[in-house]
Amino acid sequence: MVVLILKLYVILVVMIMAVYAVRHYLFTINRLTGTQRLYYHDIIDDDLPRISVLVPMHNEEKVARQSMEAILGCDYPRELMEIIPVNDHSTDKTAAILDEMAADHDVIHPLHRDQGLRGKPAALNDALLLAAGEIIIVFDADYTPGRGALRDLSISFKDPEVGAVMGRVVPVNTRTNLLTRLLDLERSGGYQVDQQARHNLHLMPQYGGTVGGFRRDLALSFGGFDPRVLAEDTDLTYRLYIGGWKVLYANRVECFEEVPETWSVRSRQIRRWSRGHNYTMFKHFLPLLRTKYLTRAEKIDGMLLLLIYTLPVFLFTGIVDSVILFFMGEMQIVDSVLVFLFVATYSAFGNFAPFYQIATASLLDGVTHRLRLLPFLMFYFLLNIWTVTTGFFQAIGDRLGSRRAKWDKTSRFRREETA
Amino acid sequence: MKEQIYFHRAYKKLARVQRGPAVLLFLLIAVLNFLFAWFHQPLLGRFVAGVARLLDWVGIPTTITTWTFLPTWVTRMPVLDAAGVFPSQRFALTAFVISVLLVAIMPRIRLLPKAIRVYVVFLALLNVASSGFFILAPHLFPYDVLDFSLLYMGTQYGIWLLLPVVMGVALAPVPSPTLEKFLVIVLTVCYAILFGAVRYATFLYLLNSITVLHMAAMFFALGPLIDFVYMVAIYAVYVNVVALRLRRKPEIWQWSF
Repeated sequence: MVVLILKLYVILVVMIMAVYAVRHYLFTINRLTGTQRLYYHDIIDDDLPRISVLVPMHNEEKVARQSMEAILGCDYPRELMEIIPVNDHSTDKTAAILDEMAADHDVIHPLHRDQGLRGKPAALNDALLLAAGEIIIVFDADYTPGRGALRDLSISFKDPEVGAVMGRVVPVNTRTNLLTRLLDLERSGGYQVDQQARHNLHLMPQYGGTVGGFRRDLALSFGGFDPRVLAEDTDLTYRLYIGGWKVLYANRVECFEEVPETWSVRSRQIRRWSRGHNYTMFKHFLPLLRTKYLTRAEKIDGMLLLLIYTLPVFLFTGIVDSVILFFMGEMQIVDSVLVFLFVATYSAFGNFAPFYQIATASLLDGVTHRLRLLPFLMFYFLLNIWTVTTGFFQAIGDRLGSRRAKWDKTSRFRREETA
Repeated sequence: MKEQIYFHRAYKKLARVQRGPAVLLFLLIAVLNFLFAWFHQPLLGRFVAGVARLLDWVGIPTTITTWTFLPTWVTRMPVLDAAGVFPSQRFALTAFVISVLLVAIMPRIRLLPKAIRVYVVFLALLNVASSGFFILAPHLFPYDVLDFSLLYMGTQYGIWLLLPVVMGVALAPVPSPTLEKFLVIVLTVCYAILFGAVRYATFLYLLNSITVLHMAAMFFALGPLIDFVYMVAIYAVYVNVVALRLRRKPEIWQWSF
């Protein structure tokens, strides 16, 4: 009986992985050959909304000035915008840099927080109360938006059904080392194929919280961001969809970010995402099934997206299961073939995008030699499995207990010559 | 003034899409797998004989045994049998201690990339489980070299059949000639057979000259996982070649619709 259960679990894991493999294959085919759904950036309108650009910052002295300068360089009318960099409990020179820039530029209104909870959701909540814009645009502190980004992002809110919009994230420090190159490949697969295909297919593109915007009134009507959630972007995405709003993906709106340059920083980032995303999964799974505003296809895609950070947990337990079967002498030939499928799929999904999806995205992006690094993605799938699994169990602890997750800031690597 | 303005990457797509070449590719893969199934006896026989010769060359005597009860069309599976070293209690205890130390120390060795450290910890954990098994219940260990051989050969044959399918699925959308893609698949399978032979010989050599304690690590960390890595590597090199070629063919792309 025990052996049967263990074998059935291996088969279950293989089936789950196969479902995701098919899903991402369909995305790949759609992005490469299907009709591409254009975003609204071709619309030119003088009647632009008033916007508030929020940039949460905690000890961001390495990037604060460049971030502010990039936003100031955007072609949005100054009288219709304000920039609120949120200095969130910084202990370095961030506050001084922001005050200095505010003295030179009227549109910069720094918010200094040194009391209350630290973390992006709490920082955004305080800034939302100050913001005068009807549309909120959010950038992470290390992001460098293109000149037209603000105009392109805010124009989508002319559509009354749109609750939030997300642009494309492009790594800027790609050439630093193997990890940054691999992350560039991963980002390419995630945005160029995954997000755009979901946009094409009218499924559920995700608001990613780092280069995007949302309606201020909506966020306030939800009671702001839940400070217990480490993935406030995913939380907002699902609140919007469940409430009948749409989220758009703007593939043309590119914003440049700094990806982690060390494995330890990357693993902490992944663990935080896993913890936050899985907390959101527990919170929204049933409401997503019950909502009357989504089609069946949207619900299925929404569920698969919610479960994406449980895949490594299934894989981890599947490996343990297989090892137990091995020592029980129950690893027969049919199981061995299943193990290959199992390995093939988890090798792909340790990185959240299968290799064929990443290769297709790279072809579309015009990438050539970097493609040869694809097999190196395998080197960190075990790392992802481990960090995501620990994040999953932390999320269970957060959900069941009264423990409050602590925001773990991603370290910056900006050097003078690139600044 | 630019002579030609290329499509922005945001909404470009392939200009010409035909189903025929994809269908042809999968037909060719079906033929390849049919040949694999039809000629599995001579193929497996030669594979095992080749590995046996290799082991004989390094001084490991083996015997070819044929299993006959498999519930598939592969009714007879030739496998190699050799003497295996059963670990002593002392060896198992030493392996256990070293593996536990590796699990404890490896996360703190900052010189190595974290991904490599995690991989080593994975290997060490498999050895912890295995050596623990040999310390507590050595008489219950369910494999000898012959059992492991059967498991290995079964897995290898399954991989040879699955590789063309997985590669075909991955290569189907790549904009390049069908026969060229099929050639890449055939080359991958040829590599899989050669690599499988060398790995089989290495495994049997280690089981014969060191100990059967490392079977679990061999199977889980150096088995099908590695097959997937070289498959993706070959795929990546080929798509890189296609990407370079596409730079000279902007007409292959079109805008959005």
